[in-house]
Amino acid sequence: MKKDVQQQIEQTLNSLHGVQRAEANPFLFTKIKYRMRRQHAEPVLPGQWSLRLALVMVTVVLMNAFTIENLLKNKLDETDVAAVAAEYSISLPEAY
Amino acid sequence: MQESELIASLKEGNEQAFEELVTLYKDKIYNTALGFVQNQEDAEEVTQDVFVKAYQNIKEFKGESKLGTWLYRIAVTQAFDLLRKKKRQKRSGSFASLFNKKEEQIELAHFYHPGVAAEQKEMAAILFKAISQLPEQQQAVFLLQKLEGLSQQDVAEVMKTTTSAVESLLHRAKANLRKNLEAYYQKHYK
Repeated sequence: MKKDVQQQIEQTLNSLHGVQRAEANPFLFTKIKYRMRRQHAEPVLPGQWSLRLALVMVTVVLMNAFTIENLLKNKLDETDVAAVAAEYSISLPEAY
Repeated sequence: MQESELIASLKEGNEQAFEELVTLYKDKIYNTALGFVQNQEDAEEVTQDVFVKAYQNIKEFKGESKLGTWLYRIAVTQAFDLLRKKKRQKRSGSFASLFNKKEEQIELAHFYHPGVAAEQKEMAAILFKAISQLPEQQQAVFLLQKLEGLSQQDVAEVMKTTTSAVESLLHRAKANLRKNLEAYYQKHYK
């Protein structure tokens, strides 16, 4: 049996003797060209996405700036009212 | 067109030169890729990758080796990249199989090379299976020599190594193949 196994191994190792080269798809070049054109056209999509992302980020920043500005404005208004009240000795109503 | 002219035209982005390159080397690259990935669809994908990469990187080709050698080198790299990607997918697949029994069977089927004589097909399929279990460098050396018929010198240039290193890798590849095949036949003779 050992001899049989050794013989099988040798035959298997030699089974690629005289192998013919496999042939590629005859339309390979067309396929490659199509693939390259598609790859070339693809960067448009990430570009569009980054433009959208930039717009969203600008909107968020503007909204934050608007909110902060409003908050500061409200704080200033309160300070002004307090100053006028102190000058004319008016007591301001306190909220409980 | 001479190789130097072809390279110059390729560097200028000449589409006709690119077509000539594909026509000249497509079978060689496809056959090489097929030996590694053992699947016709994947071999075609690798072949396409090789030519796209060659077109994109031709400006970096310094002419230190033959154009064919450079293409074989890209083919070997691309083929192993694809195999590694598949292994990673298989690993994540087997994790998924803990939860889904249907995803368990991802084993490669027996591969029948179209260029092998009919009476040798079964044995060659067993050999290809054994080749796929070899370490990468041993696989590369064995396939480039036995399937593509490259000389040890050419294999050394593709692998960017010496002929003695190729000889040693080939020796180890054959020893490992014998071991793998012995285990296979002993199991199947019982």
